[in-house]
Amino acid sequence: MVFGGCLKRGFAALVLLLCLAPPAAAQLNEQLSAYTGANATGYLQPLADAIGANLNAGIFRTASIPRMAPKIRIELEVMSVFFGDDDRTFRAVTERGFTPVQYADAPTAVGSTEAVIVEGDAGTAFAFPGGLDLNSFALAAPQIRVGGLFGTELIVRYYAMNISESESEDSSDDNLGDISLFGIGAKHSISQYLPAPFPVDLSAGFFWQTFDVGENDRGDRLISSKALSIGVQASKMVVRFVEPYAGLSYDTHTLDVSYDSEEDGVTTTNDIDFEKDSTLHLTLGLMLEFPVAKGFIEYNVAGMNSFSFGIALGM
Amino acid sequence: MNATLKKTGLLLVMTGLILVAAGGCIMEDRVIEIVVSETTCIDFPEYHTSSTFVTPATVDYAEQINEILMDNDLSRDDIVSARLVSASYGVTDFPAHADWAITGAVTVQREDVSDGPDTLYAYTTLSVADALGKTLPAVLNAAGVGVLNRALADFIAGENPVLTFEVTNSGVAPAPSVDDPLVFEWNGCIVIDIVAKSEAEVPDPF
Repeated sequence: MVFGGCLKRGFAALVLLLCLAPPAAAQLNEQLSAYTGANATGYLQPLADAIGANLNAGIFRTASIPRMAPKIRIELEVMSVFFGDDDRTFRAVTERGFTPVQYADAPTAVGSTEAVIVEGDAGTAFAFPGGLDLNSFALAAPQIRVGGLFGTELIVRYYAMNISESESEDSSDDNLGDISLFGIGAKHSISQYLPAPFPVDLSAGFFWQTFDVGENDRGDRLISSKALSIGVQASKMVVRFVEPYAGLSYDTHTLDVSYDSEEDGVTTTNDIDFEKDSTLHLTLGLMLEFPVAKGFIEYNVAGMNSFSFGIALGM
Repeated sequence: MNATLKKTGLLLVMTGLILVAAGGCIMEDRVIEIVVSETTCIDFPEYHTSSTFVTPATVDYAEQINEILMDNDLSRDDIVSARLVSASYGVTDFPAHADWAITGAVTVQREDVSDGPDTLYAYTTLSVADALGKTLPAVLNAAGVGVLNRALADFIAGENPVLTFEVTNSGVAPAPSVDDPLVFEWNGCIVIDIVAKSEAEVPDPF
């Protein structure tokens, strides 16, 4: 019984690692219903930036790719950002016919859990909802890397799952929605075209991803996101099994949110398309390349800084 | 070297296991102040042969708020505060007829305790035809807002407020008559913000 509980807990933890986003998304759907338009954009902006930063982290890593030798790895990685003080509030404006129109520093989705209330005409008041008080936001991704054909490797990320808040399999009331991630890209060795011995390995690659999470009141996707990274990488094995690496890439990220809110007794669908975010992205990392087990840790300097770490098994 | 390799491999696997074991630390409990915004509308069907008339509508406010709370999986104990945000009105039905201009006020009073009546908002020479299908913002009066806010506070304290809204009309141009009655339907809506505590588990792993 106890072992069963441990297994259940272990499995739940694994699911959490892979699916950190849906519970937050479900709570966000509740919070967002108090907002329309510009306020919803400001409220979600730090989370949108975090999703973009996480998606474009931990992709390429080292530049060494064998020209003609089989390479296959199964990888699990965690990407995360830390939120700063600037991410915790946004300039919000009153809605719902409240007079006079007022501006306030209200919590973003990652800000304080406490609502902010402003006073209006004749004893009225307007309330801005609290946030989720997050220090960090992480995503996990299983990934497979296959390569060694003409100095090229293919990278694929994928998982899809329906997450339920309830432990009961029969319950469908607490459905937090689906989460799905698909990413595909390739990396090609540049070193093979350079005269040997070149001091470092060089490669270039691209990676495209789509990430959907959560469910709105209509049963549609709450958050849909797309990311693309194109970049070059350099690495060198300085001592046996230890390979520092660096990368420079150009990242883009788009995010759409669709949720329902009520105004004047009428439920309206709000579709928010965040502006396409483009940023230069510097990666500094360290890879431990043991014969079967590998590990890596990296720091990413971009529009929003992030870190990533993970393990890999394979050749 | 083999021993080192084994140790390192074991370390990597352990890293994964620690991540899995740390599942309990990935999710953090939070008590979040959510805002439930609700619009309550009251219909006033009007059929009058004189310029001065009163049209009352009684609302079981406690029942309405309880429904709002139930829809949002909240209870009365979860409420931190509740206040009036705004009010509006508009004509919903106006059978074909030459326009009328009406003047008057909407008052509010408690039925369960003695509070009010007080004016919530007034309307002056309002064109019935122009107001058809529109949502007109009401310029609120502090005394009427006070009745509503006190009702909300009493609800949080455990009471069950019942409110009566009254259209108290003082003038119609042109004047209606038995042969030419004033006939239209309109509604008044109030928007309230309920701030409530909601417990949630959120992912915050680092």
